[in-house]
This record gives sequence, C-alpha cells and structure tokens, in this order.
Amino acid sequence: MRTKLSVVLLFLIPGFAIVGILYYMLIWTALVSTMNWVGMAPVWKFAGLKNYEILFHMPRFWTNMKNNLIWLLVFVLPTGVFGMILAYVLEQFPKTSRYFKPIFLYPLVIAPVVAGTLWAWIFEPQTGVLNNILSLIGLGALRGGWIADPRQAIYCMIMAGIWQNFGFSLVLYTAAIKEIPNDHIDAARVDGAKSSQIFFYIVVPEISHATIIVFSLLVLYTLKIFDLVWVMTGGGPGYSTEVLPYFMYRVTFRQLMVGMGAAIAMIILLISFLVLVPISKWMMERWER
Amino acid sequence: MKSRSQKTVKFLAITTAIILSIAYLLPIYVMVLTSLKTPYEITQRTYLIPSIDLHPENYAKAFSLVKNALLNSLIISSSVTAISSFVGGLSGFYLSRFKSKFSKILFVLVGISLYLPYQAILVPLVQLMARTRLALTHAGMIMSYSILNVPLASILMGTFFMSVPREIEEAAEMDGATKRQIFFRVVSPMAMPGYASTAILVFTQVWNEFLLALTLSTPQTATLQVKLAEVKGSFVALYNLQMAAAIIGIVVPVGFFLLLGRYFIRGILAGALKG
Repeated sequence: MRTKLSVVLLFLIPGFAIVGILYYMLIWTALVSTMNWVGMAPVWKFAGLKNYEILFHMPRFWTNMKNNLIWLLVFVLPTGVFGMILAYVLEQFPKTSRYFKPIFLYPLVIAPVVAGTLWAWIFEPQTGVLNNILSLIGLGALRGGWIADPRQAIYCMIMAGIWQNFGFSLVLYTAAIKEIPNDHIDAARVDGAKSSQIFFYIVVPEISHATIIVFSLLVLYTLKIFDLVWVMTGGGPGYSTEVLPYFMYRVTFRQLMVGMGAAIAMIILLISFLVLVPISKWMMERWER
Repeated sequence: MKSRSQKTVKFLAITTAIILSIAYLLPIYVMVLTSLKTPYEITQRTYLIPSIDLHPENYAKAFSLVKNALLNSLIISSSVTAISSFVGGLSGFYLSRFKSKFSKILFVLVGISLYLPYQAILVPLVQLMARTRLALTHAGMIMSYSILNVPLASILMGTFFMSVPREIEEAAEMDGATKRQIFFRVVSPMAMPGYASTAILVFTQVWNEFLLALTLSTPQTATLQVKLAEVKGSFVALYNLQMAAAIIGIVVPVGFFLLLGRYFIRGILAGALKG
C-alpha cells in the first residue's frame, strides 16, 4: 500500500503542482485588482473596488469593450459558420478536397506576429498590396485608407484573424461531420431530402457539440488578442483598435498601474467564464467516457 | 439527371475552394517574392510580379538580424516541449488510469487552466520571476512557458492514453509489473504518436507566443517573435527585410506542419473534441 502511494505521487505531483501554481497566481491577480498598486514594486494598499469603478467611468475602457464586441460578431460568427459550411461542402468530395485542406490550415502554425506584419502591409494605404492590386485591375475607386482609417482598421485586423483561424474551425467541423453515421444521411437521401435539407436538419444538429466547442474557443481567442494589435496598429489610430487584452498590457507595463491592469485582467476572466462553463461541462462528459 | 446536377454542385464547390485557396496562398506568394527584391524594386509596387534578378542576400542580412533570437527560440521552445511532454505524460497517465472523484475534479481544473487568458497570471508570473532572480535567464523563460503548457500537455496525453488498449497493461500487471514500469515500458511507447502530437503542438505554441516573451525577455533572451516585431518597427518601408525575416521565422513551424501535419491535426482534435 505504501509503495502504491509513492507511485501515485510520482504521477500526481509534478503536473498538478504546476496547475496549483497557476490557480495561486490567479487568486493573486484577483487580490491585486483590489489594491492601489502603482509602480513596479509591490504596493499592498487596499482600495476596494475603486480600480473597477475608475475603469467603468473611462471612455477608453468602453471603446475597448465595444471593440471586443465587434471581434465577437465580425470574427467569431463568420469563422465558425463558414468553417462549418466549407467543411460540409468539402466532405462531399473527400478525394478532391484532401488537397485543399493543408492550404487552409497552414496559417494556423504561422506566428500572429508574422501574420500581423504581413496583413499590416497588405492593408497599408500607400505602399500596401491591396490598394496597388485594386489600381492594377482597374478598381482604383475602391482604394481605401484601411489600416490608417480609424473606422476600418479593426476590420483589417479581423481579416487577419479570420485568415489565421478559419482552418481551425474547418478541421474541427470536418472531424465532427465524419463522425455522423452514414445511414442517417443515406436514409434521408432515400426519402428524397435535398442536400440543403440534409445539411440543416441532420448535419447541423448532429454536430452541435462541435459548434459549442468551436464557438467557445473562438470567443476565448477574442479575449486573448494581443499580438495582432501590437504589430498591426499598436492600438491606433488613437486607441480606436484597442481590445481588452492589449489595454491590460498597456495599463500594467507602460503606465505601471498594476492594480488597474489586474482589474482589467479580472474582467477578461469573468467574461471568459461565460464560455468556460460549457467547456468544463464538456470536459466532464469526456472524463466519464 | 441527378448525376448532372451533382456534377454542377461539385464544379461550383471546387471552383469556390480554388478561389479561396488562391486567396490563402497569395499572401505567402507575395511574401516570398518580396523577400527576394531590392528596396528599389519594391518602390515599383509590382508586388505580384517576380523581379528579374533574385536577391537572396536579403536573407543573409535578415538572418544576421535574427540569429540570436532564433537560437533563443530554439533553446526555449525545445526545452519547454521536452519538459511539458514528460510532465504531461505523467499527469495524463494519472488522469486516465486513476479514476476517482478527486481525479475528476482535477481533470476539470486542468482543463479550465489551459484556456485561461495569459493576462490573468501575467503580473504574478513576472513578480515570481523577479523574486527568484530567474527573470533575466533562459531558465526563467523555460520555467514560465512550462507552467503555462503543462496543462495542455496533460490533457492531450490523458486523451491519448485513454485510447491505448488496456489488455496489454493488464497482462503486464498480472506478470507483476509495477505502475511505474507499465507507464515507462508499456503505455508510453505505445502512445508515441500521442507524444508526437503533444510535442508539435506545444512547440508551435511556445515558438509563436508573443505576450509573455515581450514581457519577460531581455536583449539576451529575446525570442524570435520579439525580434520580428522589432524588425517590423525599425525597418518600416524595407518590406524585403521584413518579409525575409518573417520567412526565416516561420520555416521551423511550417516545416513541422508539412512533414508532421497529421500529428498536428490529431493534437488539435484531441485538445478540443475527441475523448
């Protein structure tokens, strides 16, 4: 019995000590968010919820919230929905589509810093690739300010985000669609169902678990965007393209308002709990199996 | 009749896929072409047309800019990959073989921790590194990234171990093998593809990470991503250098993807869906 315990500890200790450290640091951040900590050295001066209060009265914070909402709508929805549709369409011709998948997947392994560098140049108004191609093919009228235009810049970034993450939703949906039992679809086809009917009434419901995971993970992605903003616009023009994760970094490490930075981190965490709940439910189901 | 309409659908689908593929490959195409041009050729703005003379010396210049950072990234990413795969293997084995209420709670806690936004632990991590005086060293970077990647490795390995058949294990146990022997001699060798998936996923993640690298790294430990962001900022209009440096930066992960893409995809699926 004693040897068994030592073996259990061998497997248990290293990994879970690390997870323990992670949660310890999380609580630490929660505490700091209630401190009036300014500067790099620790200042444990309790301030209650003042950091949050200041944030909620800050127009810049609400610009950030709005931008995160834009990401949620303009990035998550198309990436998820088109991933699902393309996965279904390509699955109809598995032999041909084999050659396409790597093309949509390779951006996944490219660093966001590189993707940002590339797309920032594509959307640059003067020397940028897009405007020059538009002129070249006689669509000069469509030239835009893109990344330099406060109203368009965030959509340029979202474009880069979609380009990178589309393959992720494609690969998960492809796997989910492959797992649908063939006879379900065959039976419907024998009954004379059209492809679109099969898609909406059989495929979509049967891959709903994948939908929950894909959308949750994409939402979590929008709560982590940092690299693209840093590289493409630096949050500008002004702070028009800032998002919460980027704002947190600026506040903490540039303005050294560590307490307030921690408050932003906690707000990010609270929002991510909305999707972490379905994910942990899914985790439990997986464990049961 | 039916086959004809099916053919039309196939034609439309494939055409769409081809157009999308072009949109996906165009950025890389422009990147490669531009990395081989002179600054003067770039001012011509004929981005889609290759230059007559290729200028591979851009790569030599870009390489000398990033070579230290490249070495740092190689050291840090491979160390973290080794540590995370090993520790993840141990805890993954625990999660998949010692089923109890306790391990169920652990599984969910680990599962959540792998999705935590880095922002939520960034400040304490920096403080920890400063207090342990590891802040300025490779060891500090390796430790920080290991803390962040062990949960991912544990869940992935746990998932892969679940699909390893139990019969051989039971047979070994009957022969008197201990759990430790079973883990190292029986289950781990059988789960080698799982280790490959975990390793490739952790490696790419660490290689591409920017926020933590930016916060923790010093000029001596700056990773490739930090350096690339710097190159982008300081060679503003020199797209040839920017692109050459960027291509040097993606060669390793893209190489892994092209050679071991199967394992990469299996890792993504194991992390999210299968179980």
